[in-house]
Amino acid sequence: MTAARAFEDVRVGEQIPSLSKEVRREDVLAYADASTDRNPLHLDDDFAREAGFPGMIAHGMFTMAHLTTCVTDWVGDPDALRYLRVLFRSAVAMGDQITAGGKVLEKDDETKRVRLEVWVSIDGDGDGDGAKPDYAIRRSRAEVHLA
Amino acid sequence: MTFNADLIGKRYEEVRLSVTADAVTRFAHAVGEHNPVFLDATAAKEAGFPNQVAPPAIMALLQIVAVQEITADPAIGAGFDGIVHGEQEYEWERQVVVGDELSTIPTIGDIRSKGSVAFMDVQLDVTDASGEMVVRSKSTLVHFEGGVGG
Repeated sequence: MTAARAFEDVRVGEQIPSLSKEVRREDVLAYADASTDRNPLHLDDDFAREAGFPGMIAHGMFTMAHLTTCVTDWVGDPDALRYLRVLFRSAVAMGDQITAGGKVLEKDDETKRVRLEVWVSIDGDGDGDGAKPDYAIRRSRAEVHLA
Repeated sequence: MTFNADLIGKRYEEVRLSVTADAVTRFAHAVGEHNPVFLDATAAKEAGFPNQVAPPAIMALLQIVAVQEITADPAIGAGFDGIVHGEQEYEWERQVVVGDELSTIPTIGDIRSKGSVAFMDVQLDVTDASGEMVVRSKSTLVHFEGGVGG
């Protein structure tokens, strides 16, 4: 089995390996089907434009799922994930590159819980305009329970 | 507008979910999971799980039904299409696996507003077939006056 990360191997201040992907229309449409969340904001460019977005946007939960993949990849055992609080910020558009990441904030020696700050940045659409990264999820928290 | 604060504590019709391998596999592929415990029962069992593990975001399947129930309530004051997901919080006792029979009674938590933005918390305490707690979820729904995209 994939061994869970050992509590004593985690250092406060360490960054967990980041995880990037391009948000593709076919994945968001597949997510709409798999989740049964068929809000037209996530299916229909024209509807999303009328609501003030540049085109259809990814579900917040789609982006959150990318973050939990990043955290469970790092920790090894999905059952170690015990707490998550995400604040959804900027909308994610089709073609955006998103990067999930996290940083260890504290370790509790008694409960063997590790608390992380976690985020998902939007690295832009590759148009090279040098704009600062925006955040789909930021100032958010995860906790994992390690042996 | 604001959500109707009289609804704090209101409970809605129970939502149930039978977690099937097909639903978990489709969900895991859609979100790009690559850990085999999310994709394959054999790999999950070798890793010590009772069955294929659902990605943590599988909770979306319960949340969407709960939010549709609540926004269909004319007393709420905002329809499903006018609402965005602002925050999400979970406390897990364990992750969901294929074969779980989950149920929850959607309950409205806090309702508040800040300027022209209204917030409503939807609480889902999710239990399995034996009545054991699996995960507590709190979704914060946001309604912006004058459109979601601002």
